[in-house]
Amino acid sequence: MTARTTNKDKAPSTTRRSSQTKAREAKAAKSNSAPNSGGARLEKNWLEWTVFGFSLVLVLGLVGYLVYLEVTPSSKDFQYEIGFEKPQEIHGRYLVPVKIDNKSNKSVQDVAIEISSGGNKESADLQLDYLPRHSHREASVFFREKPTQLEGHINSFNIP
Amino acid sequence: MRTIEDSTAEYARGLAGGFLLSLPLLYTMEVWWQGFILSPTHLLAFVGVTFVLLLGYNRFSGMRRDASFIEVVIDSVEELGLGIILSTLILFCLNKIWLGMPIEEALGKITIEAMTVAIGVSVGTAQLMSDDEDTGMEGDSDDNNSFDRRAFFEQIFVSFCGATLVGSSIAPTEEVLEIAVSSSTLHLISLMILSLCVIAAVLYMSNFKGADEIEGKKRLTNKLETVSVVYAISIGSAFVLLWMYGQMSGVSPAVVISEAVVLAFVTSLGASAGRLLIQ
Repeated sequence: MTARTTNKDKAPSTTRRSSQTKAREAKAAKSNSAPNSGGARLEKNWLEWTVFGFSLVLVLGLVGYLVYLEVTPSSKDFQYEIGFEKPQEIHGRYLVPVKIDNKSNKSVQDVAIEISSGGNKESADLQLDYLPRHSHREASVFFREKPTQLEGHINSFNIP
Repeated sequence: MRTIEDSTAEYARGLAGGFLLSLPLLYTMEVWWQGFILSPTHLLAFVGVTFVLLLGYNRFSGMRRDASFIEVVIDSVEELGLGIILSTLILFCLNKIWLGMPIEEALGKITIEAMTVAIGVSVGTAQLMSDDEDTGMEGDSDDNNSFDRRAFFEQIFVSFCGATLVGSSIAPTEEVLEIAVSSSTLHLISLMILSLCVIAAVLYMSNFKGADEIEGKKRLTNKLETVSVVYAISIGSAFVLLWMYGQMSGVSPAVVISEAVVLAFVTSLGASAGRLLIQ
């Protein structure tokens, strides 16, 4: 974004052409009369060098991290972990916060989860749109009776 | 060597163009999802293709036909960097990335959005520039200047048109409600500050196409007043759009206000940049 050349020496026109055609013609004319002088055109002020340097670091960092992810060996099998927090009584029912952690390198979609309490005495269902790779999602389910022996399973999912 | 003022104007135009041209993608949940669905290989390819597109656009857009290859490369890297910064900023304000989010998911979302924003930055910098900057007609605008001489209500009406035009592409979508309910007060305040900054950048820093004619030279108090009025128009048009598209029904006033702030970022771009383009 450097050296968008200006042409302030040009005589003012009596008519305004709103399209950029005129601007481009002016630039083309200027570029023809002042051909690229190599290194001189790279003169930047401190702000432009700062933005460029920062941008370069960001872009190289992003590309480097993506390459790292690509070359790092990881299991393609879907692995997950379901954890629970302390139930909270609300209006005579028990709300259980659930954390579903995708431990694998595979993102999955339309995830159906079943949470059971008291050895399948009572169960509740959860549905997640997405469970990204190496990420977690948090949700909550209600039980009528005080939860014991909480267990969670993913019943189905789609591969996006 | 160019002045800091010239450089700032370019970056401000890039900011406006980056946001304005990529708004529909920034507010689309399917695009956020692609950030963690696509493999690192896909994302790398996406970065590569975008970089090639930027090189080509910067070289052949007609603005820099005389530029050396190294200069075009530097420009393209800058635009990618600005795309990453702007998309990080807006995704954070929209609560689509947050501190503590797994870096892989956050970077995926940033990457997928940043590439489109980078192209918007490039196009905005080159195409949204005032003709005066190139043709030496800076003095002309003094004759038919300015906001003060134009009818106040005419300006409000045109701003409202710009806000409605740009906001209409986002207002009916589910994402507005989704972002509103998942945003904290801090997110909403940061989004309001970002909206005000974008309005000020477009109107007073960017040498945006038409900005000189309308905003001209003003004192700081006048500038602050105009920015406030434009934001008021933006949030007003956001309420109107939300009502028109039925986004207010069945939700609490607090959620409606959140929705309006979320949509007002979009309409503020319309009321500032959009207004300058359509009149």
